[in-house]
Amino acid sequence: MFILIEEYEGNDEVVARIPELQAEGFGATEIQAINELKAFVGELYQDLASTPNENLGRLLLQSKLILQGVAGQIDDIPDAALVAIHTAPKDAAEEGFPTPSAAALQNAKRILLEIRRISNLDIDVYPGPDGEIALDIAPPPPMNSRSVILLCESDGSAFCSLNIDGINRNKRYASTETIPDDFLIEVLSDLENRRG
Amino acid sequence: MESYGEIDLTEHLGRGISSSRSANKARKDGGRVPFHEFMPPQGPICISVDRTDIAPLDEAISIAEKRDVIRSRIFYGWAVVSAKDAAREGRKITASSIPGNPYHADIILPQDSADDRDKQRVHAHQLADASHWNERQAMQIYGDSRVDDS
Repeated sequence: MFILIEEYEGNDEVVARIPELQAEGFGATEIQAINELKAFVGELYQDLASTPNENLGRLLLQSKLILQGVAGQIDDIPDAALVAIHTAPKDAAEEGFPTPSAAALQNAKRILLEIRRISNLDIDVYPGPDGEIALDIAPPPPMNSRSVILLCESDGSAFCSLNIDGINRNKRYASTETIPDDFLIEVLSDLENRRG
Repeated sequence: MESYGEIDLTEHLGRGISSSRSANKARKDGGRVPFHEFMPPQGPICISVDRTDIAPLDEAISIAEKRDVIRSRIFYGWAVVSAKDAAREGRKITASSIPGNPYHADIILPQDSADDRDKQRVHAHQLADASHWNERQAMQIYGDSRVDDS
């Protein structure tokens, strides 16, 4: 996380921002602006920590998880995909889908973090119509015809489907314990190798 | 109600999208909607689509909006596939006018996927990857210019 300092010619005010948190502090000097920013972030952290996740919108939940990550209360500083796992039950309800089980959420989070270690591909996360959590992995546009979806089911099983230019390969898993396995590593490699 | 005959493979078929999350994904992700937008409901193996090439734009939008209002949803646009892509992998396409939508069509999945959700997912995944995004607003503007040209 970084702090952005903004000074404008002809204006005595200095602005200190943390864009990820949409937080800012103002002052006549850089130090004053940073101190005000620190005070703001401290209050934000207290407010968010005392608010249940289900009462927070996506941006505030993301801010809460980022601050918890910085404070060492969770293992990883979250990105949009991790936040989407946290908001998936709420998102599913809004879409009219069944609520994903705790097993689906835990499996999706573990596999997401594992995939992050072996691949730089973009991962999108969303709930599905059968109570599953989808990890949707794709090269950046315009490579639209190529993607992997890994579905973590509410019963603890999983399904993986790879499309490359109309050719599909897929695999069903009775449990997610072995994921990422050779099949997933291979299909991610296929996607990576065909980037750009 | 007028019927518009069989679907030509050069046509395009639009899956109406009424989820803001799916529309947002399509906008930021090069036009790809989530695979589940092409999932049939539990039971049937038909995926409802609109024949966006033959439907006058204003009428197509009006039909889609009315359909989504009934479901308390908002119409954001179409995930569009070519009829040729829709008809790959054993899928069939058929014109199927319904009351209120003479431009309705179905993508019918192979019979062996009837009781197999994973097979349905593979078809949905292929269709989503083959689709591109047509934003409702953009099409409205295009529609206005098309009227001006005539």
